[in-house]
Amino acid sequence: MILWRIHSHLRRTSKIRLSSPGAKRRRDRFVFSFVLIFIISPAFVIGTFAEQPSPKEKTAAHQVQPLPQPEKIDAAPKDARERTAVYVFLAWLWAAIFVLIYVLRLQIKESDRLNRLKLFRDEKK
Amino acid sequence: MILKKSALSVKTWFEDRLGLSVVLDFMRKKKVPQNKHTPWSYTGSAILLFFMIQVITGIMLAFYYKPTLGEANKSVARIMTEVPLGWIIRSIHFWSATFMIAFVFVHLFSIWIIKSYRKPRELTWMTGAFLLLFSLAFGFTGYLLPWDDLSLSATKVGTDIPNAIPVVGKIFTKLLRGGEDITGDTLSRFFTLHICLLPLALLLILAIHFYLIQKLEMSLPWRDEGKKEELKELPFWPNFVCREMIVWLILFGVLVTVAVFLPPSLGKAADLMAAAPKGIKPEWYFLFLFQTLKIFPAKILFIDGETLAVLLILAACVLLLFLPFIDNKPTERKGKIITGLAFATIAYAVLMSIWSLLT
Amino acid sequence: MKIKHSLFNRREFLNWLLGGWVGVFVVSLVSPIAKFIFPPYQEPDKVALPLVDFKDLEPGALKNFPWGAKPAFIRKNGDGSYLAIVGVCTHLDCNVTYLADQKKFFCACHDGWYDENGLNISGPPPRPLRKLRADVDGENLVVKKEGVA
Repeated sequence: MILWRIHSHLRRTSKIRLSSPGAKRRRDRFVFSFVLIFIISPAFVIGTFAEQPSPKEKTAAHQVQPLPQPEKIDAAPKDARERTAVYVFLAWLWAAIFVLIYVLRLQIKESDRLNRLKLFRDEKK
Repeated sequence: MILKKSALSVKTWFEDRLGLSVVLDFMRKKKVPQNKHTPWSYTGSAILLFFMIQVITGIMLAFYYKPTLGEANKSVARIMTEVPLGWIIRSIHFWSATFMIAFVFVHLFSIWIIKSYRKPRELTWMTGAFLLLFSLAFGFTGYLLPWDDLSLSATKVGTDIPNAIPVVGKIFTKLLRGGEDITGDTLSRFFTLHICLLPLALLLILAIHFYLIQKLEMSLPWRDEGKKEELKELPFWPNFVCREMIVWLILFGVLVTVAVFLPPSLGKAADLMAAAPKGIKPEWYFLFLFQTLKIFPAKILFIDGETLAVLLILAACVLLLFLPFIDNKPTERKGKIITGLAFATIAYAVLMSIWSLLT
Repeated sequence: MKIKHSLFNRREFLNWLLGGWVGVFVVSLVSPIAKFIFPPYQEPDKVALPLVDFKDLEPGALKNFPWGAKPAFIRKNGDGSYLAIVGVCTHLDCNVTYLADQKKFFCACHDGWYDENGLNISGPPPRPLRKLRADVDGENLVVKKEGVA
């Protein structure tokens, strides 16, 4: 929803000049909300990783019998919380990647347009 | 407004002292030609991306890894079970190695087929050949470090292969193993190679490779060389870099996803006295060489089969190194044969690898 | 307030947008990396020691035991209770030693002295040695952090 709004907004502002204060206000408001979202979102991601697991009870002094070595140790998240955190992070990663690809495509379009203009400018000279 | 002004003044402060704007100017002036070969030019920077990920995850793993006989396997087990997110970092390191070497092969064969090593880029190819060697060496040395039974056996076989070379082979095996047999010294040696020697060597050769690429500019398809009319080009910065970043982002996403869902496991600690476990195999990038060695009979006439195989492989490596000089007439029939050889090599490597996996 | 020109143009906006999102992306990678590099604190909640090792201590005598990664002492008091002290100097973390003849703890690093109850009496240590709770629980002598139930 937000992306669509940004997209349509950018398409509009590229063609016409913003003259009315209402349009300016709308643009400023949505820029502000967009900036707010991307400032807040890393905090959300960091929050999923912020909890520290509590230190485990340890017995010292006793010579603990060494456990028989397992045949194979499989890599896996320690508990449900870590598993959820990993999946949330993965979802965030892909969301951020898609947003970045979208912004990069806008940037590419802009840079290519500039490049074409420069070519024509050289020719005229 | 204030933000912009202060950012500008900081930029000017650094510019007055470092003069780094030459770098940005160079990147703006550098042109990447747009033709049918351009997609292959993304493979080189993909290798760089994976190498940087290897360095970062490698440093993180080295914080907890202990390179001694008694502690190596245990420390990797600790990374996987006790250290927070250790299993992911190890998984990323493992998969990034695979991706990096895969892209090295793609990069190598793409350059071979489109013949970018033509004059004046012969040195770029040769430094690239050494980078291939170092990448494989990274994989080989890193494979031993978890010190589980599979990796010990693979290393035993791998370090025994130079023995087959007459005269100099034994010295090389002794150098790798730190003696006649694999011991704790081998592990220390491989660890030093993996985190110190090989990174330094690779960075040195990479610097030369990189410098040559910037100096000699991107190669053109031979049909386009010397053309008078203007060819389609893109400035490196920001046009090509933005495209590269998209590729990097997708590759990074795929890497992390694969690492999360397919993490490597750890076998139990290696026993130097135990018999080799069943089904030992080297890493996938050595499978075709492994199978080549296997198909040679024990003796051919009076020569040891293994010796012959190793010498043939060495000869192939030397030929690969000097390929630009062998392919000195790329547009003629000889050139076409060499292009065909590239496809033949790919087919050979793939088929031998599949055969090795099936047996 | 009406302004004559735009605060920023489309190109600048795009640049800041891209730069900002790249920054966010990189920052979001910092958290998992930091979690890996700073593992959770290793000090245990409690340590259970076999009572037999400490039962026959003379009143006033001390015996070592490991408190996580730090050295600690158990002292049997005259009334049969136990005192547990962490043997790490409060100045700059050196391990202290107990001099039985003087009934004092001594830190060799900077000449710090503590009395037999861990109170800092001489030298640079700013605070007394940290105390732990030691209670008998059946066959074990359970040492816990002070203030923890």
